[in-house]
Amino acid sequence: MPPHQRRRPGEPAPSPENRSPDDHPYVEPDGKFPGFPIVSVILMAVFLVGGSVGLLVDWPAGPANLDWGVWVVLYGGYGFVISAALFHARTGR
Amino acid sequence: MPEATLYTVILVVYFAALMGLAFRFNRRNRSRREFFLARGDLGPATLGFSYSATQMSGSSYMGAVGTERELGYNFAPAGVSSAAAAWFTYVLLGERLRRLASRVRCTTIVDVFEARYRGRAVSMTATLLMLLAFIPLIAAQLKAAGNLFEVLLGVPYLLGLVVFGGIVILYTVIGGMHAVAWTDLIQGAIMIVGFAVLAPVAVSAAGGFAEMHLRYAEFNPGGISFLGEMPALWVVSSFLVWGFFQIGGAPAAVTRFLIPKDRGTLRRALVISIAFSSFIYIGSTLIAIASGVLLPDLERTDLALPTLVQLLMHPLFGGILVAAVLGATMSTIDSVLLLASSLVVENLYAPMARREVSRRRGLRLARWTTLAIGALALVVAIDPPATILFIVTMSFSLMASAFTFPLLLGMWWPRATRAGGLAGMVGGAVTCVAWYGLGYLEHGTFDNWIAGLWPALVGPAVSPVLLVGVSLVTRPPPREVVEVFFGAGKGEGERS
Repeated sequence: MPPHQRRRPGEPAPSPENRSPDDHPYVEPDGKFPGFPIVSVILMAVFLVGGSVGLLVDWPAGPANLDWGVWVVLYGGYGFVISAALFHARTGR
Repeated sequence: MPEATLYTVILVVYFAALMGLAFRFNRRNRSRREFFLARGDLGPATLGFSYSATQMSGSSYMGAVGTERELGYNFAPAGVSSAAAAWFTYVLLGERLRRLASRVRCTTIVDVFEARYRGRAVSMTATLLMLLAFIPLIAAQLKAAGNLFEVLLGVPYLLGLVVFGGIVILYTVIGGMHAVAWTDLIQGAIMIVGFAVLAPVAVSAAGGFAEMHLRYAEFNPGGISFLGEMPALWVVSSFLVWGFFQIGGAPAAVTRFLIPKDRGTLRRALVISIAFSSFIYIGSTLIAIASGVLLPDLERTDLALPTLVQLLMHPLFGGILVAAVLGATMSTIDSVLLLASSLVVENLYAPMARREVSRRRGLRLARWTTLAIGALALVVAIDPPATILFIVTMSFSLMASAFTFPLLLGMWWPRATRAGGLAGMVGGAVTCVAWYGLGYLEHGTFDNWIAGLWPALVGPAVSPVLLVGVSLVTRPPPREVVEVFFGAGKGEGERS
């Protein structure tokens, strides 16, 4: 019975030379695990806490017959999330 | 050519293209694991679109536009939060799960639980909770598509259901994850084109951006800002729930993180997912506000999108947009169907099989299981019981409550133990169901909760407390588990 058929979920994958098509093709070059993405986590907290507070504020009237809250929290929120994702994609932090 | 005929022709071409794609990828599936995961074969675009298309269902298009038309900007924070869901899950889980998949054999997200918590109790609980949620979810999506066929094409419900359901099930059975991901990409591209054309046309027809909001305020004064139509706690809850808690609430989408072959693919997929989701949710907000202005007397709010399409667009383009909406429904059904069958094969059947399953037999088994689950959901969708709607409403909250913190802490906290993981999972799920029950006793409906606080917030609030508390009073996880998940020298694992 081939080795790849004997492993059960959770058992370590084989070395690269013993891999079967079922195994993940990626081989870790250094065996290191990614660090905690601290900057992104802080940005997430800012988004969640800032957004929640922003939804409760009584915002003054803004452009285009909308109040400033819609511009800042909603449309600004999309900009924030896209920028934060780009930041993580570039730096990994 | 009559409108319905044109729509039918476009849909026939569309369905034929999807089937062609499935047959093209049929040969790529040499084993059940390739069938379920297409491991390493997907690039950033297919991965990114597939994640987001799975997360956004067709009913969320139809439902979101309809609900936002009724509630206005009270509901819009759920959109920005849903767009941010990809950011939360990719950053907090993506790289960890990808690296884990290169170290241990993981075909389903339940395999991750089993590898981390080393216990059949945890994996069986997770499997059963997911299957309980998935089959009604598939049935409800099929029902929504059948209704759309009935309304737009004049096709009898049963015929529409069988044709639509048959196509989705068949291309999933034939092409597996390869076909699912590539059809998600095509469906996503059609959605972008559709919304890129419809949103400006709808806003323009409603008088332009500023004028549209002035007129919407006359239609719905409480919906022109965040507060007014719904309780403040409801608005904040929806903002919190639809983003962060998709970590546990959308396991079919999170399974995508077991696929990419390198870090670059994952990071580029993140950017594509976020851009795609943001575009769609901004577009759906504008379309919803415009539909309130242009269709003030519409009775069935869930039909706001197709009705607006019929009102404003040439039938040819309308047909393409209807295909896009059906595509969104398909992309959810195919992913959930594939995950459900992988759970049955990998987490129920394989561990109990007396002998190892050969590659050929495993692939055959995967296909037959997918077909059987799809057929079961199709039968349920023919005449769905009233309780199905409750289960569908509850399924996201239940999964978010049960899985978010066992998954997150399992990936980042070496001290999380098997008993802690199980306590967090069961405690979160039970609290969520209890909160629905209390809401029902208070308001007589499952859609209204005590103080407007979503069950998907209450369950996950209890889950980490139980997980951490129970983990701290039980023995640390075995050292080999800690080493596989966190590297050598981390935590205080015990030798097993």
